Amino acid sequence: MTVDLGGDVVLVTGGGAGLGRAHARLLARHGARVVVNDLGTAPDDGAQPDAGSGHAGAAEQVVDEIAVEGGTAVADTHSVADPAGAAGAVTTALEHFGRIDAVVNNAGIVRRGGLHHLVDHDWQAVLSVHLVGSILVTRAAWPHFRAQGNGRVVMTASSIGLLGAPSSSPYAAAKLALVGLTRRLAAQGAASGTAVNAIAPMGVTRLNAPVMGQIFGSAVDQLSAERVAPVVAWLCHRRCGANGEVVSVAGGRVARFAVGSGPPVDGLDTAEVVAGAIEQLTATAPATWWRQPPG
Amino acid sequence: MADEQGQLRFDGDTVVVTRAADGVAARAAIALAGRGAQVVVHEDRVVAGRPALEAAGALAAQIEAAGGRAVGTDGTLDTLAGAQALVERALESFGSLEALVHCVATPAGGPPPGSSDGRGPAPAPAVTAEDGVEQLVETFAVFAGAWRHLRQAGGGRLVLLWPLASPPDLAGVEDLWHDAGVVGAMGAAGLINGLKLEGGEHGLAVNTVLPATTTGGPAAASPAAEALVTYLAHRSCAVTGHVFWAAGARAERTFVGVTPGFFDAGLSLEVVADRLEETCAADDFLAFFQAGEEMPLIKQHLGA
Repeated sequence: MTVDLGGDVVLVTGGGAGLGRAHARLLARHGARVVVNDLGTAPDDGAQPDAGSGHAGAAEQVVDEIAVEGGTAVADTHSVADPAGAAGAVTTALEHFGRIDAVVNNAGIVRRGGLHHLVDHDWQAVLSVHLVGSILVTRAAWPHFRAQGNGRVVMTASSIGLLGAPSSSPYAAAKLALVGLTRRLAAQGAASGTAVNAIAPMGVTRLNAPVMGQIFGSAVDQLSAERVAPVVAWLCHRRCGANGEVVSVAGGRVARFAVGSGPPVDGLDTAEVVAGAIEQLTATAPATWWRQPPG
Repeated sequence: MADEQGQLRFDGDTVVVTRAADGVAARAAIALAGRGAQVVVHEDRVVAGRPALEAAGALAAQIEAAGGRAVGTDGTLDTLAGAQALVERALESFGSLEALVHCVATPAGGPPPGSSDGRGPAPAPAVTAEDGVEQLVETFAVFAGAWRHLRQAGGGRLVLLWPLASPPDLAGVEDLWHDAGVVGAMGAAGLINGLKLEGGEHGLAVNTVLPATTTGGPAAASPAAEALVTYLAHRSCAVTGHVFWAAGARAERTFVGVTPGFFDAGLSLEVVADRLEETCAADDFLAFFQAGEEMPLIKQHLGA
């Protein structure tokens, strides 16, 4: 069976390098028309591009790679962190291809360091690109999805937010906030044929290569962007029925994240009762897990 | 710590409580002072017609009249400098800081565009997901300010109070504040997921309580929320990185799980199209304490 996106138009933010580039190329290979959005430079001084390319012309370069393979794509260099830029990226899709069918929110930056080392600008920058950028691009595309009765949104979350990791608290916060946003939008979009899902991907980038090498040894090469992109491409497909899901994907392993609730404890009327019940209250079983929102 | 009756006491400890002039934070401040804590009552809103500083001072006076120790203070919290000024206020007033309870404000405003029935008064500005981001930015500033001091001082407790109209995993609940609330509160859970792994070796514990609100209204009185805040702010608190949803005298923990899933070294669009649905139907979740614990699930497939 060959799966084809039948000319559907997909906007990939941060598409100039890394995961975004792999998403864009795979989508184009399967018949999507792709808008490769990439700022082309680091979003601001000192920020390390996580998913963006960090160099000028990155979007054009990916568009050229797609063209060589016979695919259709157009470059866009708007910053998605402000409303005009986010709207501009959607407008690029409409002007070049006359429609927009899916948005892959992939752009992001990282600021590493313990919270005691971070200052206002660190969390503000990370939250504005990852989180506000995803809100703005999705909001700009949303009326088109509603009007045409179909749309697909893919958010990029992370196990760093879902489960936790040290020295990346702004990144972790932005990523888990996107899971909250995914759940809300999934509920709102279901009635008008729009599905909103998230991926929690893991791939080797030039930023995390040393750490990942330590953990995975020689198998690190298998943690490629190419073993993440197929999940994104399917979540962009009209036939994909998933909505409100958070899909873990790394190295060819695909699984499901969800938020659960532990056993409820009643009669908590003093701190002493809480102290006595804390083990029961923090138990992870029996748990109830969230479901797809009603469609 | 606990006296002979087994009561959790705060004698000699200083606790800052933000937005404490009313609601769930005020009840927490009163409870902490009643257990011997020196309380810094912070407020930055006009509360019941009173300017912030006057409203904070009124609660501090009420605590003092009941035999406790408290001071009122005001100031904005959305920057690190504002948070550090609040820490300074605690140190000036009582000489130390052991815990901080930060209460997030329910955003002022109305429903998002398109959800009004068109009747009634002109709609207030819409509450959107960006309001949740603002609350998140403020939480970062407040926590960073307290974190710097407590880490240096050898330990402490941070408690986040985030009033929410329904548990964060309930999609589809129609509530004016839910876009902001879910985005912000889930983001704060991500922050806490990071801090739990940074604070342990420094004696820092950090937890969140989500008190149930009426739709768009203030947090309803909840014995569980107040009892949780008191326990989580206490020196004897033995847990970190947790999120608790509290309504009435009942509470439950909210956490993230991941399923084992499937593996295919030749993962392609066709494979995903074929297998994603069954994967998303599975509910054989495992709950982990940190991202590193998911790695073995992946490594076993890669022959690493």
